[in-house]
Amino acid sequence: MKRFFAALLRDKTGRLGLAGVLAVVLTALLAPLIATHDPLAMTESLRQAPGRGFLLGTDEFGRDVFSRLVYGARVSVYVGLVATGIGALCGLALGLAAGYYGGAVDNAIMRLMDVLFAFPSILLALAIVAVLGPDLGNTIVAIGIVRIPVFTRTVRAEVLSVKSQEYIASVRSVGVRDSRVLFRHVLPNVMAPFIVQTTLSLSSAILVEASLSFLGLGIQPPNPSWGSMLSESRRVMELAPWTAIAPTVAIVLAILSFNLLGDAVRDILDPKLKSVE
Amino acid sequence: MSGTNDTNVLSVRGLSIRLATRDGGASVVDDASFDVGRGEVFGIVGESGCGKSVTAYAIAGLLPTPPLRVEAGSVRLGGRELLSASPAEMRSVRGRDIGMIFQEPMTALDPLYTIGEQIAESLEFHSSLDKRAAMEKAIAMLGRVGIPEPRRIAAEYPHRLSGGMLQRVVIAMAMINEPALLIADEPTTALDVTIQAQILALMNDLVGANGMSMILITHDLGVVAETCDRVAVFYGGHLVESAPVGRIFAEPLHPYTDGLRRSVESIGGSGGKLYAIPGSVPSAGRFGPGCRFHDRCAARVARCGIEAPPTTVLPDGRTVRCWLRGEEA
Amino acid sequence: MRTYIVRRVLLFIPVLFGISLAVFALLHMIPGDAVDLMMGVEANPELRAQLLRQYGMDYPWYVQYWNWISGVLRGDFGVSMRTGLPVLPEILSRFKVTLMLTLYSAVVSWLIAIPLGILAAIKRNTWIDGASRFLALLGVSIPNFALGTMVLLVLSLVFCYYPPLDYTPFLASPLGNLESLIWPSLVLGAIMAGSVMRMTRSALLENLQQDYVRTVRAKGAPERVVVLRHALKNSLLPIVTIVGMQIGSLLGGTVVTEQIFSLPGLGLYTLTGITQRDYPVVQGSILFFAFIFVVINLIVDILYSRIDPRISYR
Repeated sequence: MKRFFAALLRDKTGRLGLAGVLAVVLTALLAPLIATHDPLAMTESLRQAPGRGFLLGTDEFGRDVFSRLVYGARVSVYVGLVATGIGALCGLALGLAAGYYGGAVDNAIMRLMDVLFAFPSILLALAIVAVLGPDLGNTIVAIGIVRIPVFTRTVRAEVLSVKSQEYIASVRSVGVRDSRVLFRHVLPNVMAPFIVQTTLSLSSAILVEASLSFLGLGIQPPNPSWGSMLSESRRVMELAPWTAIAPTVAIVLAILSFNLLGDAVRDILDPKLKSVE
Repeated sequence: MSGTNDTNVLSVRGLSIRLATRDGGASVVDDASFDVGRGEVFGIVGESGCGKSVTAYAIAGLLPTPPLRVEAGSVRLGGRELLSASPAEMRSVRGRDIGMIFQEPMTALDPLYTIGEQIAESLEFHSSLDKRAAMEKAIAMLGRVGIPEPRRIAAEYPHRLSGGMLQRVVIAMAMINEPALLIADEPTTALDVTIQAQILALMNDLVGANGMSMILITHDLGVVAETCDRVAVFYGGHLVESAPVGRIFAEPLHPYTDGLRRSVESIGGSGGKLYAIPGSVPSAGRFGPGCRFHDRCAARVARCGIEAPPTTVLPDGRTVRCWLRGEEA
Repeated sequence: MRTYIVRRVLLFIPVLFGISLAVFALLHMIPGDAVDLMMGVEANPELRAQLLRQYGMDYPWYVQYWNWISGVLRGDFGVSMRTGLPVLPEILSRFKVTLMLTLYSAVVSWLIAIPLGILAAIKRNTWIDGASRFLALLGVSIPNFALGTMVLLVLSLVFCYYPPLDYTPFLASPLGNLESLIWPSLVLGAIMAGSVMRMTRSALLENLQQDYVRTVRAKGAPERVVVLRHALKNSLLPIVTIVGMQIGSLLGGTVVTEQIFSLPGLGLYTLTGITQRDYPVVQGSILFFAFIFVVINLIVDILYSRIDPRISYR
């Protein structure tokens, strides 16, 4: 663990990514302290340019753009973490089962994953949200489901390669229980690519959330989310370009940071692994 | 070591190669000199990592730079200096004047082109033949390296052929421009024992028939005894001894050569214990200032660990790099 | 090869059948339906029953499924509950727009990504490599709606230019068609280029390390031949894989782009269908998307065997 962080800090991309991710996460955690205004409060000053009073200006309803951005970070981080967590845990369980038991179990799971994987992630998330109804919890569930196939494939591939090694066969031949083999021997070997995939998935989850909110199917107004802020800004962006530029910059920097961190983690833990996406 | 004259195809002088690493670097080949005569089969033997392959790649201008870099020396092919040649000049030398054969025939060919296309490609860079004529010549060459049904094989992709067949293809590719010098880097190591002899015989025949010279790199003294005229022995980046093959087995000058010879003979001998040189090769960069063999040498004297011996040329042209022999001469 | 293709096409049937069933079940599981949505809160029970009967929604779900799927097999995807227009012709005409957009974007991305990827690989660890890699990472990190919005913003604020609001079909006016599609294609192409460039660079670097490259150099080949004829061709397999996946996800990604640039594509049609709970539209277009997907996967697999003689299907 210590060695991992040392390696991460030695790497230039790693440092940059970690700094960016920490900035976003801290902003999300400390949102009430950082925000200068109530993100939902409408003021008299509509579409005011950035400057004194309003750091990044106000939107068409006179709400402070900076404070909305800060609270928007909460949504992004929350959705990103929880959705990735759902996808990662389900994928881990399915991938372990498919890889370890093989045969019919493997076939059933992987065909299901093929069907899920056959859809563009945004379209699939969109359909699920449409079915469940647009709100925060359902957005998270939808994005989580979309991430499952990637994890299942990564974990299954790794389990298969671990299983083919001789020591697993010898452990099983002396009659050690399946669950014990799985948790004591297979799981630790699967961890490296699993962690790499988790890090890389965070940025995708944030991206899909922003897209859903942009389409009006994610976080519902008036709650601030970077995607919905950008969507709302389109009506007034020629008069108030800052309302469009600010959320764009926030989205790009956040996703870029998570991507940098993901790349660095991959280089450290698993130089051979290439992302399944 | 005779001076450069027109019976020599290749003349290497004082070749030194370094490996750039994070902590400074390491000497991979140090001050190696040798000549290859016209029509001669010249063996280079040594254990893995002794610098023998690196020397060959340096001659052909194929060193991966960085991390490997020629530090000093001269390589003259037919009187022409290669180390100072431009990349474009080296390209015209490779394939036309120097042909190369590699260790791993299974990976030496591009999987996406047919055998015929890849042989004909050698002609493309060095002659003005059109595609059809080049292909015909490639097919003829396949026949000469003993491939049955050359026309059919020319249209096959590499993955359909066995290792032995592929090595014949690589030989055809290296020889199609009739280069003056052929460099074969462990050409039989990756092959089945039964195929090894066939391939060696084939190379010998072709080299002899065309009046080519060949550098044969190997770790196998048996191969040297069967095919080479002269041989150079490398140890830890030093060329420790060079001599005609007959002499090196009859009267080795360097203690390392002697050890090699004894270990080979003990395999052939009846019932006796296998002989092994005590110790193991130090890795590049770990060498001290002295003779690189001194800590494994039974005959060492105090000086051996302090100062590297110079190369001594004996009156009969043999060379040796050892303090014991140096004083004799 | 032919038997392989036939077998793969036969395998489409269970996959598409499964997807159709899943979509149908999903849509009918949710509380509330298009009729509720149409009539609003003050629903008149009699009118409601009449509407349900009109759309065949008063039957159990499996009967409804049977009615729908047997129609699909006859080429009848039903009519939109909102517009009353048949679904299949609408899908096909909108698919043309999405397909054009996808093709233009793919071309844009290759024009950017492949030269940059090659350059980055052969100039490894120089500023050119660094700059290309940063651009690629940026491409991977920008959502297409964000880049699209920025492009529109810059066009209107700086150049006082507004992309046309009406789509011009290619056959009506190729130039007008280009004007409709150029900006969205640039946006999607630039984003696609990110991962294609990363893949080109890493595959090329890996191949340049291979033994066969050394053999080609030993023949006296110029670097141009080494890189383009040999290393690049060997890198095509992973590049084709990623392009195939991308064209797939691009078809979905166009949902957002079509909305921003108001293009009458299939993505927008599906989105509208979803928000309005227009069952025949959603079922039809998702089934169609799935069909396109399996076709793309098949094309990618066939391309594999065209590129690499070691891959043969029987």
